Amino acid sequence: MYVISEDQIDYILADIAAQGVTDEHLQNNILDHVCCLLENSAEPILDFEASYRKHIESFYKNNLKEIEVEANLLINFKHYYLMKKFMLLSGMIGAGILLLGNLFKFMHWPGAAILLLTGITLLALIFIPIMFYLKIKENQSVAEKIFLSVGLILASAFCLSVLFKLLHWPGANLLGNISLFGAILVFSPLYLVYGFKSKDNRTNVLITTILIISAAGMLYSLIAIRISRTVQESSWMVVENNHKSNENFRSLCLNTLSKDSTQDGKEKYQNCLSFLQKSDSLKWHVIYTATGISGNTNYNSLMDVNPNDLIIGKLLPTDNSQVRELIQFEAGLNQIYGSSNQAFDIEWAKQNIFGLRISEIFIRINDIERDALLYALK
Amino acid sequence: MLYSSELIKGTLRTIILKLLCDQQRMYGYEITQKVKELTNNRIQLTEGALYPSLHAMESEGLLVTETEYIGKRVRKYYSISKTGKAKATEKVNELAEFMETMRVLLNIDLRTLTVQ
Repeated sequence: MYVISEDQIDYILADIAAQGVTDEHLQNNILDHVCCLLENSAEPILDFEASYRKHIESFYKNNLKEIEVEANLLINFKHYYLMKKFMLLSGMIGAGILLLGNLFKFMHWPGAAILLLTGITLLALIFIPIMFYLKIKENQSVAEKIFLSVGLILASAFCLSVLFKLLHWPGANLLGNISLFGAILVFSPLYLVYGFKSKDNRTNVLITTILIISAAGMLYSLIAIRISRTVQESSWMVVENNHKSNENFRSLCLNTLSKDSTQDGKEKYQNCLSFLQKSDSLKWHVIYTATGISGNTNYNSLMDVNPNDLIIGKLLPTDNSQVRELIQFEAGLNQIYGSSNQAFDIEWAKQNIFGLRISEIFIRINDIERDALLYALK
Repeated sequence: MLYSSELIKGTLRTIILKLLCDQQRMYGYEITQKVKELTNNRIQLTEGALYPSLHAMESEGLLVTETEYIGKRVRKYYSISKTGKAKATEKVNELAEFMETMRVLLNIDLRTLTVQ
């Protein structure tokens, strides 16, 4: 019987550890096993190292570490196959319900939202996490785990962003932007670097990377769709047309009033002029609070502004100055109508101005202007 | 003739549990040798399959272990626990039923071991 020296035992143990087996019990088991094989070897051992290699190599297919991987899999994954089944089931049901939800949404049938909610939640919070959990457990290297974790977070974030968008919840665009930019800027470089480590499937890795980037790019362009320019322009057209007809009406009235050479008539004319100035400055002040654009006299400069953004006080903090402006506006009216005139109630403006659309408030101000000018002409 | 590892895979736990039921305690190498001896070298357990199973069954409480120092190296002896014994009976019965079913299914005559 061959006798193994203590140095040889140290050598074997060091080699087993160097080959990636970290569990002490498994190390000892393998050590004892290989020692028994060497001790009971039928052939005489002339070269210890060569004999050791021959025996240890018969333990595995690719590397010694696979014994530990398999042991961990069996220990930690008693429910591995159950989880795998559950993952597939949740994925299939999730995808099915999502498809059904789309059909309901398309047909305007009731229950679309709840179907979409269930489908996407199943995919984002059950299917994808289990899938990545199993993948992470199967793979050992830290780099691989990081790479898979990034993928998990991005995929779930994207699913949730679609859900948020469908249900008009806040934060949908932010989630979508993060997940798609993450896929392009973080995930695909990681995937590329990781995939290029093995020479066998570089072409596949490259193709998959191109697919990831282009799919993310196309999805991003869908998310980034804003209100169309035609809609934007036509919305402003209404304001501009209203403004133009108002201008015509103004010059007609002012022209008529200027012909009145009496003291009363001259005063009325001056009052109307200052009132119209106030009205204009109020309109531009309103635009300023919504867009930050100031001091302009034409509406063309506003064409690039999304009408949905033109909400009073959206951009600048609302304060009492707007209310004061309106009081001055009312004061201008009173100069025309007399201080006690209650004919024109502009309380609506004081109460509702915050949060109103600009086009809406312009048309209302113009209405008041016309009524005031008509009254002055009487 | 050596049996394919695919065939052995499904019965590995049964083999180990049954062996340990009959023996007091055994260590890994001893188990492979015993199986070899009992089957006339027809079943050779691989280390890559044996140790993961032993570790898993230990963590499941089917096996208990004790360690002994053989000079500088540590030898781990496995013996069967109470739950392991029950499991062994269950597994052996299951396999016997399975073999019977397969015999009927594949129409095997056990006396001549030929397919009719």
